Amino acid sequence: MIRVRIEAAQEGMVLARNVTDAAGGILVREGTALTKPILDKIREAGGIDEVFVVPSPLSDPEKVARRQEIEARARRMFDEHASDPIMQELARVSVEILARRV
Amino acid sequence: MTTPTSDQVKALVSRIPGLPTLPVIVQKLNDMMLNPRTTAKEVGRLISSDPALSAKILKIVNSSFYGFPSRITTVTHAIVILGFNTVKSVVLSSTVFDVFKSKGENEFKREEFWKHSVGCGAACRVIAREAGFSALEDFFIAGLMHDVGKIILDQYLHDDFQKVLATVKRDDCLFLEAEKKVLAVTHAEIGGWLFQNWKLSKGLVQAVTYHHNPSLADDALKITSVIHLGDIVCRALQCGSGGDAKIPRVSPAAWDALGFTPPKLESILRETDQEIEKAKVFLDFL
Repeated sequence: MIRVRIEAAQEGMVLARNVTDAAGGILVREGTALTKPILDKIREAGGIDEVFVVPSPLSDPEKVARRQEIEARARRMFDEHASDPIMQELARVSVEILARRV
Repeated sequence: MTTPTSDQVKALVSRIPGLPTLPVIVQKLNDMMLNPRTTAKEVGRLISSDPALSAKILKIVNSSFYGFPSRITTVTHAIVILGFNTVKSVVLSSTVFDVFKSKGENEFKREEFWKHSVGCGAACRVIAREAGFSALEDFFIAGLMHDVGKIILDQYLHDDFQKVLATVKRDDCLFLEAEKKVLAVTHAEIGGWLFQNWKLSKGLVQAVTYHHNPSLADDALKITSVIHLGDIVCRALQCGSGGDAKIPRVSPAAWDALGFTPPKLESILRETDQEIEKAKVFLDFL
């Protein structure tokens, strides 16, 4: 679980603890993935400076390294085909699929 | 049909002592399939005579690759449910690993090679379906074995093979380009020659021979195009390695023959990615 300042909280992050208002009432339950309306709701409630979220896969150094490896391998394959639209579409979709799997 | 066996290939393969033969059981199976009166029971009896093979077949047909809802418990049952052709493909694909047994570690990682082969088989099956073919298992086999010429090189012409690998490394090029520089013969031609020798179907022979150059496969252009694209899709998905780190460009002739548009690639890649996971059951036989 990591603590994130409300200004830095982003869509897609998953809450690791309930978000409560000043009176202790639950605004948003833990396990909820943040969306724009939910972030607006928390910000509008006032007085909430930070939230606790599940560590994002993006912040895991091993996963970051794995993604970089995927992208490097793709560049090595596809850079020489930069002018070919079919190859570029292949590159785009394959990197998207592989990065998501990490 | 043009004969894929050039004089250079003949000269090269003549140096190979005792090439692997098609497993006897596959030969017998091929003969049986030619007879329209062959029954599922007869084929089941033949396969069941080899308990290790039967076990492999049951493992594969019960895997998520075929996704059959209830358990298939006998080979005859598998034949009735999946059909002769599918079972023949499963026999062929599970025996090919035995024919080309893994050797000790060297620069060329056999495990990565087979991963690429199985991944290519899975990709070919997806592409063939999208291209409107029905005998999908034939495409799985073709994809699985498209690079078998590389194994022949590694196993029987090892010094030449090492030279090719060194050239791949030095020039950071495709395995195919290195072969042209070093051998003047390619793994595709060698694989095609082997399959011709094994009397496998003409479509398969052409698909293997011309998978890097589909426009030459005059009477099997569309089939060959499936294998050509399958290899490329599998490389794009970074599944295993066939000995280089490059990707060939999709041949315009193949692309036209398949009649795809770029957006089609997205669904092919997504589906192949899932199918590769299921096809990994084949790697258990390594």
